[in-house]
Amino acid sequence: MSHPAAASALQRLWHSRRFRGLVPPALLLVLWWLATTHEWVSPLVLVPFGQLYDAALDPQVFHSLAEGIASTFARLLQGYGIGIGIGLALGVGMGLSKAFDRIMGPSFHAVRQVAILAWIPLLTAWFGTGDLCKIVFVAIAAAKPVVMGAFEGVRSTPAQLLEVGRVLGFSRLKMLRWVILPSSAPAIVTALQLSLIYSWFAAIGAEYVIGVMSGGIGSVVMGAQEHFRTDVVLLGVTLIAATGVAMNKGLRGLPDYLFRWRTRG
Amino acid sequence: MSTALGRKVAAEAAGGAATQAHETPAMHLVTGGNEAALQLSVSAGQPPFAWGPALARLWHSAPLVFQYALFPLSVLLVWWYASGTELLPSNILPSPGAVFASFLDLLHGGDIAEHLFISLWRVAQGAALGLVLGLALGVALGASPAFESWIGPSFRILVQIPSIALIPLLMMVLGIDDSLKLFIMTKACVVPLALVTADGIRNIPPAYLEVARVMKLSRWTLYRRVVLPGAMPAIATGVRQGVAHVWVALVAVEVMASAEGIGYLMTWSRQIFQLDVVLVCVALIGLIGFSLDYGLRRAESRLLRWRGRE
Repeated sequence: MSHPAAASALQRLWHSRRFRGLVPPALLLVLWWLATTHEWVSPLVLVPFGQLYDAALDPQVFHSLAEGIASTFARLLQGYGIGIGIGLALGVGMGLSKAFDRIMGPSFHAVRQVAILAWIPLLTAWFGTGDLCKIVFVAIAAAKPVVMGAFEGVRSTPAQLLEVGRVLGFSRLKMLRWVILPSSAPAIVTALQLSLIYSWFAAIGAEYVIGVMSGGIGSVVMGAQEHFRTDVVLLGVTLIAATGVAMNKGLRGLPDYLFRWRTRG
Repeated sequence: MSTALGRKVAAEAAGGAATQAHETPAMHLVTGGNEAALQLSVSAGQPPFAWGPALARLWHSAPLVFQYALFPLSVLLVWWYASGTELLPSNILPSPGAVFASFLDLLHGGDIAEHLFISLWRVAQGAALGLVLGLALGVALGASPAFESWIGPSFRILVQIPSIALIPLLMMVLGIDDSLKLFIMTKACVVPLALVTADGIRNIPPAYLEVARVMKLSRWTLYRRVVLPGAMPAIATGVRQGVAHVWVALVAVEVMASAEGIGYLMTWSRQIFQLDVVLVCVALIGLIGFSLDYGLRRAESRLLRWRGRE
């Protein structure tokens, strides 16, 4: 075992981005471990690792979290489907026609300015605290980015392409199908993907606000919070955050993959 | 390698064939003497489509005001009709008049003003703290590759998790007092500001930095004269996004866990079924979001006036 080789390997490790990136989370974990073993803070606030491990393996906890995720996802997909349908219709319509933009645009931008969770008190009054309310809420959240993405995409169709379509005497439908949609597709797909992640956290936010009664992972976490089950809260929040990050990471390559037929430049 | 190339060539050939297949009927249409239609669609100009000729004439003859007013007025009309005929009970759908009356009432009674003032004061605090921390973090991430390599990866993971998702956990750690709100607002502001600032600094043209090096500028002058003006547009955008996020985050926390502020007023009014107050609050929240965005946009364009038009 030669010394210089080991030293240079260590130096390479020290300079590698991967190693450096892992240091802050590792330090946090060590700090956490020290804090719990020395009881610097109440175990109600910061649970020991052992308890977290037990909770993760507890079939009851596992069951309620899994069921919560499943029911949140079911509503997410329904709301998302409705939301992107409406969002696409509005966004493409506003992009295609200046008149339609004048009719719907100001109202859309006014509604867009309202912080999203501010709709919940109103929606619970109108649609109750059950599934319907949350589906409507997710639909509102999902529509917002889609309208903007579709609008931008359609509006930024290169004028040359439109001109070619006109010269070729394309019908309106043909123009939409062969010129405008292919040209705006990347913007729309990016918006759809943004909208899914946004909807996921909106669905969670709605469940937090509406609370324990409503089912879904958010309400499981809120219920655990009321019963001071910090371990379950921690597991739940980690699960929620990890799902969001995973969706983000998993979908990031999608536009590039779908539109690899487009020439670069 | 050769197979990939072959595939590409084949694909191109197929694509060429496809375009040709499209061209034939279209060319036929053009030569078939469809010149009037062509003329119309070309003269329509900006939007990709013109409406059908008859509709188009109607729209062009209608004053713009009519188009702008069409949707809001119809909503108002339906609302007014639905509440007037008690289609929905008035505690579910208060009449437009009642909402306006309660708006004036609350404004005079001072209740809404008081809650609004509390919320705005909180926003000011959160934004102040968030701007300072966000700028510091952004500058550090953008200017120091070493700092970026240690902290950057963790920060970019954290960025993907909105503070709203963390609220239950933070409620256990921080309680539901002002520290919770301050934390969430600060995080909401720091994230976009730091990201955009770091990008802005990283994207300063290397030529500028080289000139500075040649001129042997001191570190302070370098920052004052080169880095700050170069990153200014990015920073201004970051500030605007950050402050907008602070407002959204504050409303979220107040709706969820608060005993005062406009979000609280809204949830409380909802519980006692005063939906007119809820509607006024929704409108106010939107209005404030809009004003913050608009005001900062104006400030941004004033601040960046020296750059001229690009």
